[in-house]
Amino acid sequence: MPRGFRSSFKRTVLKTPSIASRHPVLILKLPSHFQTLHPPFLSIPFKLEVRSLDRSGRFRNWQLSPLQHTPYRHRRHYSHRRHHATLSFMKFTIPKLRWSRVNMANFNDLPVELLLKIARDLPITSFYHLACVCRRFQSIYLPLYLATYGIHDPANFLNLTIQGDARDRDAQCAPDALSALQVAFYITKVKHLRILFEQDHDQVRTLMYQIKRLSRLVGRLENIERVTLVFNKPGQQYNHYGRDIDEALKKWTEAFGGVLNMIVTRSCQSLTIQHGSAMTHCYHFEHLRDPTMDFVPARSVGDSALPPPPPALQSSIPATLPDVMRGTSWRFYRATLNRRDDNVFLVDLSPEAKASTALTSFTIQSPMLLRPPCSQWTISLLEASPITHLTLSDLYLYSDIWAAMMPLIIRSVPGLQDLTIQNCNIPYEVLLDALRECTSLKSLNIDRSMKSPPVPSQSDNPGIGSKVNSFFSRFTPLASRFTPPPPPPIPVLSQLETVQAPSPWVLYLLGIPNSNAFEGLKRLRILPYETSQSVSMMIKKLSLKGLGPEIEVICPEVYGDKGREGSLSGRSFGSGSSGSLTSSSASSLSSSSTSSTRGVFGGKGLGLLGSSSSSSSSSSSLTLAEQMESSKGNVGRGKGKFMAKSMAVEYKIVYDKVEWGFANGQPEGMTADLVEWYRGILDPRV
Amino acid sequence: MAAPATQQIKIRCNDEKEFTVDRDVLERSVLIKNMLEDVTEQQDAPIPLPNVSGPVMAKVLEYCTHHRGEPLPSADTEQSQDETRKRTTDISEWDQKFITVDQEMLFEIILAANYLDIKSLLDVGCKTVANMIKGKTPEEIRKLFNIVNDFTPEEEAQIKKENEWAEDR
Repeated sequence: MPRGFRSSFKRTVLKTPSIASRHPVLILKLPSHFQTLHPPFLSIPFKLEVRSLDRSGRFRNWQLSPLQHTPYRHRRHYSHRRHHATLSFMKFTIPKLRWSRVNMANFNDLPVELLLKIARDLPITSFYHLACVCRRFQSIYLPLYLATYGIHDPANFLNLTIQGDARDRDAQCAPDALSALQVAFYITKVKHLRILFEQDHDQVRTLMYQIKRLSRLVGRLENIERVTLVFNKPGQQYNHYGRDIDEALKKWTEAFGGVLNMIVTRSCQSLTIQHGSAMTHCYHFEHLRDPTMDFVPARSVGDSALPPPPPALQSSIPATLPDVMRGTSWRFYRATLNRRDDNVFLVDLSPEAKASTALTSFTIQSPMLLRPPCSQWTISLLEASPITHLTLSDLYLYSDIWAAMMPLIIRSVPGLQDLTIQNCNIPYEVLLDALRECTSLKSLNIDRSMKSPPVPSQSDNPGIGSKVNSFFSRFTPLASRFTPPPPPPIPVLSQLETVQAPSPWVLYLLGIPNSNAFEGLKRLRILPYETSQSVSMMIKKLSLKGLGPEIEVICPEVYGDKGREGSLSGRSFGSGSSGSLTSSSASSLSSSSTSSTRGVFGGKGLGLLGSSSSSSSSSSSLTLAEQMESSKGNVGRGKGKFMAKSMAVEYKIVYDKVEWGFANGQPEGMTADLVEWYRGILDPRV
Repeated sequence: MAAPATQQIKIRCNDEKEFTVDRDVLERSVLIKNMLEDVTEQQDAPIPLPNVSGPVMAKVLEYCTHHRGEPLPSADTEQSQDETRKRTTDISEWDQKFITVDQEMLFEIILAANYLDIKSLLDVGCKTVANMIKGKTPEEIRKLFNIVNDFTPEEEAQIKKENEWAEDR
C-alpha cells in the first residue's frame, strides 16, 4: 500500500459520521496523488479502520472494506475515463450502526438472474428508474425497458414512436422510450433511426417540444447513418401562442431547424422526411403574372381565393431574402393579420451542418420541405451535400409551386444519379424541364401517378399518336384543362441506364428519332397504361434506334395496385440475332416467389419457355384469381390472372407458328385474351 | 411417523455453525434434496454449505419449518412468465412478517434461497424487493439500497435533465 494512504485518511475520516442518522455516510476525500493511481491498486483487498463515537459515548472501531462498497467491485463496468471522476471521492455508507459483519450483501450484489427475476414483479416505469441508478442496473434494466417499446436492437434499427401527449402536464412523471434512450449511454451509434411523431392533436406546441427532446437525443449520439422522420399530423395549430403567430413560427423554425441540422452533422447519409406541414400556412404563394410563361397553370381554389397583396408590399420584401422565397414569376410572402412582411423566419442550414454534410440520399415525402419556412433549408442542404439519390414522393402541391420549386431543387443537385418520383402531382412540363438539367442521371423512376406528356406524333406511323392521345384523355382527365401546348424539347439523358416509367413516358422520351436519349439504356421497366400496342410500339422504337435493353413489363393485376404485379420482361430484338426473354412475377408475396425464366429466340421465331421455381401455394393464386374476377373491366385483369397462375405451371410459347404450347398442358388461367396480349407485346410487326 | 420423515440431517455453514434439522424441512431446498437423494447410506458427516452463513441459515430454516409439508412448486408452472406477472406481489401474512428483516439480511436470504434453490422463498424475497422499489425515483432507490452512483458527472447531468425535463416546458 502506498505510503501516506493511511495518514491521509486519518485526517478526514472521522469528521462526517453522524451517529444520529441511521445511515451515516463517510465521505473520504482522497489526496490528489491517489487520484491518479492506477486502477488495479483498488482491487487489492485492504481494510479500512474507522473509529467512531457511539451513542453511549464509547469509541468503537469499525473495519470496512472499501471494495465492498465502491463500484470497483464490478470491475467489468470499469473504464479509465470514469476512473478519475469517481476516485476523487470515496463514499462509504455504513448501513447500520450495529454493523458487525463486513461482507453483508447489498442490492447491487445480487446476480443478474435475480435482478431480472425481481423485474418480473415490477411495473415498467420502475425499469426506467432503476436504469438511472447506476451503470450495472442500466445495462440490465434499460434494455428491458426499451424492449417493452419494441426496441430490441437500438444500435441497428431504432424505431421510435413519440406520443404527442407523452409529456403533457397530466403525465409529467411518465417517462417514455425517448427518455430511456436519452440516458442509454451505451448507445452511441445508430444505423437507422426512425421517428414517428404520433400526435393525438394537431398542435405545434407539443410537436415542438418533442422535437426539442429528439434533438437532445440526436445530439448525444455520435453517428446515425439513416434517419426517417414521420409526422402523423400536419401541425398547423398554434393555440398556445394565442394571436402571436410570429413567436410560434420563430420557435418552430429554431426547434425544427435545430434537429434537422443536428441530424446532418451526425454524418447522416440517408434522410427521409414524411408528411407534416407544420407552419407552412404562415406563408402564402403568389404567382406573379408573367407574359413569358409558356403555359397558364391551373390555379387551385384555395390559392386563388387569397386577395392579392397591396402593390406597396412588394417593394417591402427585403433584398436579402434567399431565392427560395422569390423567383421571376412567383414569390412566397408572410401571411399575417396585420400584413407585415418583415417577420420572415426561415429554417437555416447551420454552418456546421453545411461543412459536415455527407448526405447522399434524400427522400422528400413531406410538402413542408418544399415550402417556407423549411424550403430554404432543403435547398441549401441539397446544394451543400453530395446528393446522388433523390426521391420525391407523396407530394401534392399547387402546380405553380412545383413550377417554382422544381428548378431550384434540380439545379442544386448537379451530381444527381438516381431520381425517383412517386405519387406526386408534378406537371409534366415542369418535370421535363427539370429532366433537361439532369445531365448525369443514370436511373429514372416515375410511377403511374405521374401525369404523362402527350406523345409527339410520328411521321412514320401517324395512327399511333392520335391513338395514344385519345387514351390519355381517358386516364388524365386533367390534361383537358390545359390547352395543348407545343411539346417541349425532349430531355437528353445520355447517361441513363435504368428507366422505370409508364408507357406514355417511355414513348415520349423515345420520341424524337434523331435524339440520343436512352443511348446507354440497359434496363427498361415499363408500366403499361393500356394495351399491348404501346409496348410493342416501344419495342419497335427501341429497335429502330438499335437499342437492346432488357425490358420488363410490369402489368398491374388490379389497376394501380402496386403491391401485386405480374411482369413480363425480355430483350428487344433490335439486334436481331439473339436475346433473352424473361418472364418474372413480381408478386409481392416474397422474394423467393419471383420466378425467373429465360428462353432464347432466334431467327425462326420466338420461344418463350417458362419454368417456375416458385412454391407459391395454390390458395394464394386462388385468392388472386378471385380478386381478378371481381375486378372486371380492369385493363390488367387477364394478365394478372395469368401471372398468378404462371407461378405454378411451365409454359412455352412458340410465336411464329401462332401456336401456343405448354409443357404441362394449357394452364387454366391462360385465356384467349391473354394469349392475344402476349402476342401483341411480342410481335415486332404490330 | 415414518422413519424417513424424522431423519435428522446435519448441515454446516460457512462460519462453522452446525444445524441438525429434520429431513423433510431440509428438503424444501431442491439443492439439498438432490444431494440427499444422491447419497443413499446414512452419513454422519454434516453437509457443508459454503455459501450460507449461520444467521442466514437460521432464518432460512425458520421459513422451511413453517412451510414444511407443502407441495413443492413444479418447475413447469414457474416457467410461464405471464402467470408470474398475474400473481402480482401479494405475499402471505406469515411470509410478510418473516421477511421483515434488515435489508442486508433480506439480500442474504435471497442469495441463500437462490443458492439452496428454494423457489417459494426466493419469490417472497424478490417480491419484497420489488415492493421496496416500486414508485421510487432513482435517487430514492440509491439511498434505500446504498448503491453508489457511478455515472460520470456529465451522464448524471443528462439523467437529471431528462427527469426534470417535464418541468421546464
